[in-house]
This record gives sequence, C-alpha cells and structure tokens, in this order.
Amino acid sequence: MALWRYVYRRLWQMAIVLLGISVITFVLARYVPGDPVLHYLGERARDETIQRLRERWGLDRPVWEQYVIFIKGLLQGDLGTSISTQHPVTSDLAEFFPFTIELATSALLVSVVVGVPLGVISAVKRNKTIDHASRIFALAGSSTPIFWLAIMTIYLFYFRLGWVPGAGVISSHVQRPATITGLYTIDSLITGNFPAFLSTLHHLILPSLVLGSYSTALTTRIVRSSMLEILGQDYVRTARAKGLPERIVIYKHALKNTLIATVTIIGLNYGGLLSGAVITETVFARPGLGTYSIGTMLALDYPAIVGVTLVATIVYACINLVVDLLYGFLDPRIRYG
Amino acid sequence: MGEVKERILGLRKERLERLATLNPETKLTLSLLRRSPLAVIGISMVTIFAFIALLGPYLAPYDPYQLDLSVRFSPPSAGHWFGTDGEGRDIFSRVVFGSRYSLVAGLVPVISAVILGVILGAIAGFKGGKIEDLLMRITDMFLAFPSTILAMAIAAGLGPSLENAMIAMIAVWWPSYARLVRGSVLSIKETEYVEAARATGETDINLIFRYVLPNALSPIIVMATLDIGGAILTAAGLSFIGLGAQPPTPEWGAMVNAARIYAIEYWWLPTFPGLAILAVVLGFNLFGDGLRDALDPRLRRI
Amino acid sequence: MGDEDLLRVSDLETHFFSYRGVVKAVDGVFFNMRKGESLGLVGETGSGKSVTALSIMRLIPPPGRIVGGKVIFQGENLLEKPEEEMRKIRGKRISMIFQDPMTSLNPVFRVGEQLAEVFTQHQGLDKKEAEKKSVDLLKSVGIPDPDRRAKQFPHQLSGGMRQRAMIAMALASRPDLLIADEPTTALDVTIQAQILELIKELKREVGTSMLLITHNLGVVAETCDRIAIMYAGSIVELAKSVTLFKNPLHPYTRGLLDCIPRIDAPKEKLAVIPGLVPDLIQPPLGCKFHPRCECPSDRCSAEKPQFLNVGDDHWVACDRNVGNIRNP
Repeated sequence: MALWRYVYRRLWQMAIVLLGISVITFVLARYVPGDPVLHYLGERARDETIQRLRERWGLDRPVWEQYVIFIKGLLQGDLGTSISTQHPVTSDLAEFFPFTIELATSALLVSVVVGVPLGVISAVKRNKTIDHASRIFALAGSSTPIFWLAIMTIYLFYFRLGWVPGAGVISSHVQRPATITGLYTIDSLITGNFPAFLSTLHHLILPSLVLGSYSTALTTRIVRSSMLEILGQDYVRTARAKGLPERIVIYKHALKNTLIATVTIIGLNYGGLLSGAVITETVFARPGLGTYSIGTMLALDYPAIVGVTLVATIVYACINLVVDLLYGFLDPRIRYG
Repeated sequence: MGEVKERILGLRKERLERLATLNPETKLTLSLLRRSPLAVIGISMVTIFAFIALLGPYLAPYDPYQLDLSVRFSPPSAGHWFGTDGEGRDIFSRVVFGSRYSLVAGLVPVISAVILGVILGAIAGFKGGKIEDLLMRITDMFLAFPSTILAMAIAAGLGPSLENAMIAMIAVWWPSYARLVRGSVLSIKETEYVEAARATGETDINLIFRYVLPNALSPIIVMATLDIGGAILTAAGLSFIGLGAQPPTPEWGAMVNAARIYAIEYWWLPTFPGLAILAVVLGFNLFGDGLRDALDPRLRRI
Repeated sequence: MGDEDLLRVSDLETHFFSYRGVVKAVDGVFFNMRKGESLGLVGETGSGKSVTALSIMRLIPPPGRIVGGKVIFQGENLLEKPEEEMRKIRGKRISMIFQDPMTSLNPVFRVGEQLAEVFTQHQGLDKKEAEKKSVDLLKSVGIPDPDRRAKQFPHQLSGGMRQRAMIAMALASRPDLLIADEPTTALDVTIQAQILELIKELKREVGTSMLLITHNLGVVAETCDRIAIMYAGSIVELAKSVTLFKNPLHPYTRGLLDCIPRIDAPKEKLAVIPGLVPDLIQPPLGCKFHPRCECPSDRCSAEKPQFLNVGDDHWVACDRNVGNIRNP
C-alpha cells in the first residue's frame, strides 16, 4: 500500500531528524561561550563552591558522557532541573507549554479561516479591486513587526476602545478551570465552566489576531498563487469544456487541488507561530513558553534552554509529520499511488 | 608565461561573448521590472532608506545619544518631530541613526547566509555521494527547528548583542539556500551542455562558476530579497526581547522595547520606530515581489 | 456554402494581447462543416489550429480575445450568445477532447465521477443514475472492468485508457459536433491506431460530426472527408481529402506533401520547406507564406490573397491560382 510506505518513510525520517536535533541542541547548550556556573554564582564565588556546583550539574564529566546522560534522561522524560525556577524542566514545560499551544493554534485557525477564502477570492477575481485590496493587506501583514503591532493594537483596542483585555490569559476574578489538558479553552469546556471559557476567549482574541497577522498574510499569498496556477491547468479547461457552471469549476475542481497543496503550508506556518508566540506572550503578559524561554535564556539556564528548544522543535516536527500524513491521505496520487 | 596570458585573454573573450548572449535575457528582465510599478516603488523606498542610513549624521538634527532630561517625554512638535523619549533624546534623530543598524542587520546576515549556503549547496550538489547526504541531513536538522527559537537560543548562548544576533541569524538561514542551490545544481548537472563541457575537460570549479551559478542565480536572488525583510524583522524582534542590540543603541527594535511600558501614556515612543521598521521591510518586500514576478519564467509569458 | 451547414466559420479573428505586442493567432479563418462529416484541420505547431477550436467553444483565456468574425452553429452565431447559453452548448451539443489526457483529467477526482458530471449537468440525472451510466459508457469505449476503473483516479489508468475515458466524457451527451484537438499525439503509436478506430466507430454510431485537429497528414488521410490546411493563422486550402492529395494547389500544401518520405521512391535527401514560421505579431505583408514560397509573384508580397472557390468545393488562398477561379 503506497500510503503505508509513505508513512513509514516519514516516521523514519523524523526519527533521524530528532536524533540530530538532540545533538545540535546539546552542542548548543554546552559549547556556546559563557559559563553557566559562573553566571549563576557570580564572579566572586569561591573555587570550591564553583567546583561543587560543577560536579552537581555534571559539567566536569567528558563531553560524550554528558551527552549520554542527557539522552538517557531524555528518554526517561527527565530534562534536568531549571536553574532559574529550581523546578524540573519537564514540570515547568507542562505548566507553560499548553498556553503557547493554545495561542499558536488559535492564531493558526485565524490564518486559515481568513487567509484561505481571501486567497481564493483574490485569485478568482484577479486584478479587480478585492484582489488589489487583499494583496496590499497581505503585503502589509508580512511587513509588520509583531511586537509593534501588539503594542499598537493594545493601545487602540484596550486603552482607547476597551473592547478587549490588554494582558493575561483569564480575568482574575474568574475561577480557573481544573487542569486536565492544561489548555484553558478545552478544560473549561470539559468541566462546564463557561465563565472561564468566555473569559479565556476574550483574552485570546487580540493576541491571536496579532500573532496570526503574519501567517494570514503568508497564507493569502500562497493560496492566491496556488489557485492562479491551478486555474490555468488543463483539467480546469476540460471542466469548462464540459459546460459546467463556473462556480462548480472553481469551488469543486480547482479548490480541492488548491487546498491539498495548501495543507503543507499550514505545517510550516506553525513553526513561525511558535516563534512569534514568544514575542506575543511577552507583550500581552501571558504565561507560556515565550516568557519562560526569554527569562531562562537571559539567565543562561542551560537545562531550561535545551528543554524549551527541544520541546518546541519536537512539537513543530510532530505537526509537520501530521500535516505530511494528512497530505498523503488527501492527495489520491499518493494514497493510491 | 605567454601560455597563461593567452589563456586569460581567451577566458575574457569567452566571458564577453557569454555576456552578449545573456544580454537579451537581462534586458527583458529589466524592462519587465520597469513594468512592475510595485518593484519600482519598493526599490525607491529601499534607496531612500539607504540614503538616510548613509547621510545619517547630516540629516539628524540632534545627537541620538544626547540626553536632555528637561524635555523628556515631549510629544511630537516642531522642535522634535517624533517627540522625545524617557531620557529626553530626540526620537527622530534616533530613528534616522537606527536605519543603519536595521539595514546592516538585514543585509549582512542574508548575504552571508547566501554565500555560505551557496558554497555548501554547490559542493553538495556537485560532489554528490556521502558528502551530499551528510550535508543534506545537516540542513534537514537545522530546518527542523522553528527558526526564530533557534536564533534566540544561539543569540542567548553567545551573549546579547547585535553582532551575535546576526551570527545567530546566519546560522539559522544558510540551510534554505544550501538546499536551493543543491537543487539547482542537480538539475543543471544533468543538462547536456554541462556534460559537453565536462567532456572537453573543464575543471569542476570552472563548471560551477560558468554554468551552474548563473542559472541558479534567479531563485536565489528572489529568495534573498524576500529574506532581507524577514531578517530586519527578526533582528528587531531579537532586540525587542533583549537578545540583540542593547540600549542605548538607537536600534528600532530596542527602542520599541524600551518604550513598551510607557506606550499607554506616551504613544509616540513606540510608534515611530515601529513604523520605520514597517516601511523598510515593506520596501524590500515590494521589491522582492516585483523581482519575483519579473524573473518567474511562467509568469513572464503574459 | 449552404444553409444546411452544421457549422460555418467566417472571418474569425482571435488575438492575444501580450507584453511584446498583439499576437494574431487566428487572422481571418473561413470554413464550413456539414452534418455527419469529418473535417481535418492540419497545420504546424503555432498555426492557430487549437486557438480556432477554442474560439468555437469560446474558451479562449485572457489575455486572448475573439476580436472579429462569426461562428454560425446550427443557425445561431455563437459569438453573440451570452455565457449562460454557451454553457448549455458545451459538453452537450459541442464537445471537445484535448491532447494530453493525463493533464486534462482532474487528478483528485475519480474517473467515474468526472464522467457522471456530464450526465448530471446536461441530462439532469441524479448521482446514482449518472454513475451507472458512466460505467456503461466506459464499457462502450472499450475499457475492461469498467466498474473498478470508474472508482479509480486518472493516474491509475494507462494513457490509452485515459484518452478513452475522455472520449467517453465528450460523447456522453451525444453531441452534434466533436472537436478533437490532437487526440493521439500524446499516445504510443500502437494506441494511436486503436483510438482513431474508436473515434471513427463512435462517430458513426452517434452520428456526430467531427473537427479533427492534427499536424499529422497521415491521420487525416485515414479519417477525414475533407481537409483544411492552416498556416500562420489562416486557412490556405480546403478540399475533399482525395482532391487535396491528388491536386494540391497551394504551395504550402504541396510543400507539406513533398515532405512526407515515401517508401516506394528512391532514397534522396528529405525535402524541406525553406525558411521559418512567421512572427505572428508582425507577419509578412500580403500573403503570409510568400517569403517561403517557391513561385511568388509581385502581388503576393503586396496583397493578402482571398480565399476563393476554384471548383468542386476546393478553396484556395493563393493569387497564383487566380486563373483557376470559377464562379461558385
């Protein structure tokens, strides 16, 4: 079965890539300039304290041994202890990561819901007003720095208009949902905690729109060019030659091909969204990977830096894997190869 | 000695002949570019900023580092077009000087990444075999990281500064170019005129420079011009987080960062630096788009 | 040309407005077709044959536009019809099959479904009936195991089968006119013969007229009643097949026939028509063929020759044949 071969191949690729990621991340953490011990203790620490801490953190062992320890810990789900928070990195991540996923995913939804129709209409009504308008919008969207857009929109929509909250994940006077997945939206729905659900959504609107601006712009442009290319294909001509109404030609024949091609872009977008979430969370004062990673990076908190990079990359790789598999499932040329 | 001289003259003559055959192509590209008003607007904007960056000291009415606490937090006025910041520094002057940092932060990493990527990609495509496999695995691994997070990690490890931010960006960006060049090399390698050239005993290096690179050039250029905008955004973003340029450097991202807590009361603090970023990136994006439309062989026909 | 003509094309002009200038792809084309006959439209690549066909169907994509002429089909001028009505004609009264069946079928929909669309669109059948009829149709064009094939995707069928499916799609509504644009060019030689046979047979069965476009004189010799030779956007000669091969009047036609190597002739150098196909943005003045002609006169470079009947339904556009004009 062609599909299983494809799945197998992708899984195998991912395994190798994960291995490589672990090496790179490890090298990154150990070999960049800056001694974490000195950084932590300060320059005036006594030699024996420095030595003791080095031993405790395993920094005095040979490099390859450190790597093995690292991998062993990884496979057991242990990423070490964060120097800054003094908690196990895994528990820190479990606490913060879901917020970032929530934000990135809702930004992704925005970019798909807005970007795809806009791109399609833009292509169908090529060179008319709506096409020009959406291209300008897409151009502006991909040129705007997210941190600046965040600040400006907070000023406008929170400070001036008061439509949305300017910070945080949920209102302070609302009861937080019980922790099941860590995602407030899902958890509040599951537990029937509607005030929490609404408050979370209210706090998500502006950050998602801001974070999603760049990927919406990107999606619009790609869907438009993909659709234009497909509308020039022979099989679209055949559909017209059969006397099919234009809307069936576009929304059945052309669209399905475009959507299949666009699916892979969604996966790539997610990486950018995870990165952008870092900035967005900072500006909107939301807890999440972003605020956690900035704090730890500035503090040279190696276990945390490694943990963050690794987990973010694994999530990104998983999403891409899912997207690729989805693509293989949707495109009959691969599924029934 | 005479032989060498002859060879050099011979190569020169061939190069001129080659230019003559390239000319209709380049002429068409230039004329198409002219026909794309967006590209023209884009490159005008970029040129304006380039001038601003070069002529900075002459255009800025104040010293960007000069403090004047008596006028701190002044709104835009005749004396200070963009107002002043928390230390009384003139924002307009700082924005003008900041153009240098942003342009450098955009151009240097991209150009370096291109050079690095082209070299490695050409080697990979050309030599093939284990070298190619190894290089491709490495690029795969680098590309598996969400790019800005990796850049952040590297920049953090190296220490917060604009130079380190640029190094981080180079490290993150070169894989895309390596893959692009490798792909071009692979497809050109199989063409018949390269085989013919090889049969006449051309050295590998010669082959790369005379045949492969000119053809691989246009997708690289398109990708690079579009990446410059992204590089400027990333550099500003890293500075905003605190991992790039450090205050009191008048870098636009760092300026927005410093302005963040005062944004609500003093709106002009973050607005103008951010607008500047938008304008420069927009210029590069317009230019890149126009260039892509002009160079894309499919779109060219009509 | 009589009123019982199925199709009458007069002075058709289709231009493409590109950056480098206006490409006059179809520059004054005249021909007619009667009910039940096969007309072969022959010419080199770039002569405008496909553009003529697409103009009849009004499927010319921008930046092209039909700028002049008339296309009278069953008494109505198709060029004046609103798009709504054209849609009712396409696929039902006039059908078209294209050169490359791989790219002409939608890769993400099943073959049976793409066929069924014709039935649901033009005959108002519901989905189930349409699908059943599709399977029958696949069988009638010679595809074995049609049930299974209908559920497959285009890439799972061979080239010959795909073209059969396309033919099935075109003939599903029993159209009055079938336009076949190089239907065998993309296929293996052995399959070519089969497909041509299939087309001939179905044509007989359904009673449809056929406009066959090709650059291959051998194909038209076998299948067509009349042949039109096209050059640089105009038809230069139109005659019954037998007449054309026995008595080609236009120098271009003569050149084409000379180019065909013969098994029974002594081996000599292959004949060619000297020169190159003209630039359609700035074609030569007068007769477009005159720079390559073996016997041009002074008039040829000054005036465009008229397309005239020289007797027995044999039409030529060549001033050298002025002497042969007889009143139509």
